[in-house]
Amino acid sequence: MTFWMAVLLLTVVTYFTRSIFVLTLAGRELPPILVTALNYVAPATLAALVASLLVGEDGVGGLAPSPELVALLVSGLVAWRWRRTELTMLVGMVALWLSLWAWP
Amino acid sequence: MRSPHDSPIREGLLDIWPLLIPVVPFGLVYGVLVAESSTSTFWGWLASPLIVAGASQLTLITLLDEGTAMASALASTFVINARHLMYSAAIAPRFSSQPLWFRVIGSFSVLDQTFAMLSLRSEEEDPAYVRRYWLTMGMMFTATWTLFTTVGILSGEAIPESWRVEFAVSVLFLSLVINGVKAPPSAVAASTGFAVAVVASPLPNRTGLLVGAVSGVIAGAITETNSR
Repeated sequence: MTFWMAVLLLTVVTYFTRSIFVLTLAGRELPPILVTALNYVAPATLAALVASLLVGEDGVGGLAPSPELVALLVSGLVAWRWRRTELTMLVGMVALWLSLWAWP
Repeated sequence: MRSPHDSPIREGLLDIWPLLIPVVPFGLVYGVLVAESSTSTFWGWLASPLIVAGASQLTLITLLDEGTAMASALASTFVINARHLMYSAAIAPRFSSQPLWFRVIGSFSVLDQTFAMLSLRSEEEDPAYVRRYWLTMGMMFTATWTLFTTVGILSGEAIPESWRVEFAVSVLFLSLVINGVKAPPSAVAASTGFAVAVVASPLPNRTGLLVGAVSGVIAGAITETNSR
């Protein structure tokens, strides 16, 4: 599959997930177990993505100290304290550049 | 004070603009990644007005750039997209009195931000008012997202790879996770997702990412059920 096919497929799938209840199933409800599960899709998937991008294919060994790990820890603290996405991104990138520069 | 007679367009603009601020770095990062990646710049750009889902688009392009196979990159992307099902189900009763044309077009704008704003408003609103209000927010969001994708693509050529712009995706997602954790079950879902994805990361084709995501969802759901 090429990239443009992936973009079109993702367009269709995204529209489907957004429109399915609005267009055809109005009045029907999601099964309660699915509603419960969907609440946790965003935190679980995004956290898994951060992990995957950090460690690559190295398993627990990928958590060894690195400029990326330092920058993520700093970003996590800033996000937790101020809860502002733009600020966190700015500080996170500066933290990465500084730790890349200072790394022994 | 707001009254029901205020212009829906004005109300839509007032409600959506603070939510557009994080779209700026988000769109810029996506645009720079599109410019730096080996995939088609045109299709990467077109994805913004067509898909209008930043996290999904960033996931797709980031995973492809890391050399992940297309099928597993798409699978992760679909999982991230699944939350839209929840929005669609929640919003359907409010749109059931709307004409079909609006439900077809308005569905493009079932976004985290528009969903959040509409959920805060009274269900008594006049359907014509809701239509204008919804479309104003949806169009403003899509236009802003596409505009900053474009700016990112144009500046991407000038930004050296040593700036490691792709790392901003990790920072952004971490920030979204932490902002989204408002109750213990979300924290359990996020930390389980992270831990399992780390342990399972040697699995081929980034399957570990999906295993982590699914484990996190299950852990969050179990925690919620047990705490009731």
